[in-house]
Amino acid sequence: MVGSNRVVLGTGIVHVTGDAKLPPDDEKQLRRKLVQQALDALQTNEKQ
Amino acid sequence: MVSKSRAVSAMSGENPGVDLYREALHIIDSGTSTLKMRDVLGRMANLGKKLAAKQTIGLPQEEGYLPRGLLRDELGKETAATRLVNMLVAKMRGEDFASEMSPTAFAPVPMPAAVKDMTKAKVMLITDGGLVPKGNPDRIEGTAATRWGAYNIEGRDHLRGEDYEVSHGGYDTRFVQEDPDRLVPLDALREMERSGVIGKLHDEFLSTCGRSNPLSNTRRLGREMAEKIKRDGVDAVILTST
Repeated sequence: MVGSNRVVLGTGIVHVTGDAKLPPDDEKQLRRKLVQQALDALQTNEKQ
Repeated sequence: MVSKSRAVSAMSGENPGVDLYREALHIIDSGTSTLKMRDVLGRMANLGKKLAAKQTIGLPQEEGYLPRGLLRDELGKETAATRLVNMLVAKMRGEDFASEMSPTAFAPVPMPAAVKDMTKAKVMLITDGGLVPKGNPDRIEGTAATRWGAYNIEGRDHLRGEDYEVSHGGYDTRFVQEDPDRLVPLDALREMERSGVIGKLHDEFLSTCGRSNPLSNTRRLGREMAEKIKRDGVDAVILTST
């Protein structure tokens, strides 16, 4: 659901967990960050 | 979509069969009370006669069937602009008006409880971006997909473009084709499994294509995936979506 704290914004449709404009190492860093955000969201209960 | 079906049914609006089959055949709205059965049977018979005689079937409210979600072109007396403004004026006046297209309503889904200990959790990756093994062995369609697949990633540290292809007609797939981790972030999750951030990564990722997919498909696909998720003892899912 839009606005839900379990929806993490990816880097656009064509590379949701990546970014083709970044050098490979930076892209991996970005991916780790996004995945960690997802894991954090999974450990968070619904905000009242 | 032209219905080739010659069957007529009757169901109450909240019957799950309605969502599944409203497009396939005409379903008379039987309401929730058997007291109306004679009336309902009469409507079924009338509609059946019309179908058998290949007559044009009228609108849902005329014939008594549940809206099928189908659009039929008609030449109107007024332009769309005029109709829209009339609707808006009526709405602002608090008067009745009939919307020409009703948005789909979704019953709110309660959010599952948070994972208590991610370091012990079994995590699964799922995507609707259409990533499939080269050759698309399960023939997952790139539009209105009716199938999903489970693909083994055991022992892999990352996904290689040469092993996969993308069956999805709705976006420019070359970046994902180059490096599928851009859609299914296996490399990051594998690192996290090794370092203990998560307990275990499931040996498979699930995939289907979300493009232009009617609810009659996606509700079933989601249900089937959820059954597998439960069977395999998965604690948390990361679903990446294009």
